[in-house]
Amino acid sequence: MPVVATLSLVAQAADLGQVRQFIEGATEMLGLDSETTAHMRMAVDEAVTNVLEHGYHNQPGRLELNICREQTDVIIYLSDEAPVFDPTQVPPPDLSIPAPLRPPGGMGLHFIRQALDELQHEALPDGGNRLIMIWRNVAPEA
Amino acid sequence: MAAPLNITVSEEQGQVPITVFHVAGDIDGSSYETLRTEAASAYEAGMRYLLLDLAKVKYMSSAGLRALHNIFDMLNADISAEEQKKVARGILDGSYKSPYLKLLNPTRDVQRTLSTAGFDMFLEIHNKAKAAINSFTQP
Repeated sequence: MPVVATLSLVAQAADLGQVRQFIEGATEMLGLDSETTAHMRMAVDEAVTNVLEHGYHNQPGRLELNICREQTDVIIYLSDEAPVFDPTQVPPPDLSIPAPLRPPGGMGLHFIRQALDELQHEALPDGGNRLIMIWRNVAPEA
Repeated sequence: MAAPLNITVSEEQGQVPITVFHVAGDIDGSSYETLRTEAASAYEAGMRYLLLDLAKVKYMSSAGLRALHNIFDMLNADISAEEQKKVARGILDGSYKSPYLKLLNPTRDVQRTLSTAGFDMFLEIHNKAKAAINSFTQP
C-alpha cells in the first residue's frame, strides 16, 4: 500500500498543531475535500491527544503517523511506544445523559469514531500500539 | 505550529456585569488549560457572567469541551442545592440554557464540535455581540 506521507516525532502536547498541519498538508496532496480533511484532522488530533495523555502521561513520547492510500480509501496509521491499550474495546459514552450531567471529558474517542469509517488496533510485537483509522471512498480516483 | 491561545478580556455592562473573553488560536490538548485557568482567575476576581467570543478559534477538540464543561460547573457552583436540582431537571428536559456562560460567533468547525457533543443544548450561541450582551440577565 503506497505511503503518501510520514511524520515521525518525539511528541508532546505542544506538537498537536504540527500534527494537524501535517494532516492538512497530506489531505491537500491527496485532493480530499474540506469535510474529509476536518474529520481526519479531528480524529488524528484526538487519537494523538489520547496517546500523549493516557499512554505517555504527558511526557514526551515517540509517535509515527503514516498516511496511505488504497484506491479511493485513505488509511492513517498511528504508532506509539506506550503500554498496550486497545481503544476499540472502550464502550461509547452514554449519550442519553446530557453533556453537563456527564463527567467532564471522555468525548475524544467518541469524536474519533464519529469522524471515520473504521477503527482498528494492533498491539505491536515489540510493545506499543498501532491505531488504524480508515476512511472509505474519500480520495479521487488516481 | 498552531497559534498559541491568546485571550484578551473586556468588560461589558448589560443588565449584569459581563466579562468577555476574546479567544484567538486553537483550543486543543495543549491549550485548554490556559482557557480554564484564565476563567478560574477571573472567577476568583469576581466574574460571574462570561461570554466567550470564539470568532478567532479555528479548531477546538474535546479538550476544549472539557474546559467549557469545567467553566460551566464553576459558574454554577454558587447556586443553591434547590436551584441545582432545577438546573438538572431543565438540562434533562432540554429547557435549560446557562444564564452565566454563553458563546459568541463560533466558527463552523467549532460549532460542529459543540453540537456533536450536545453542548449547544445548554449553552446559548449568539452571532451578534450586542444581542449576546443583552441576553444576560440576573437569573
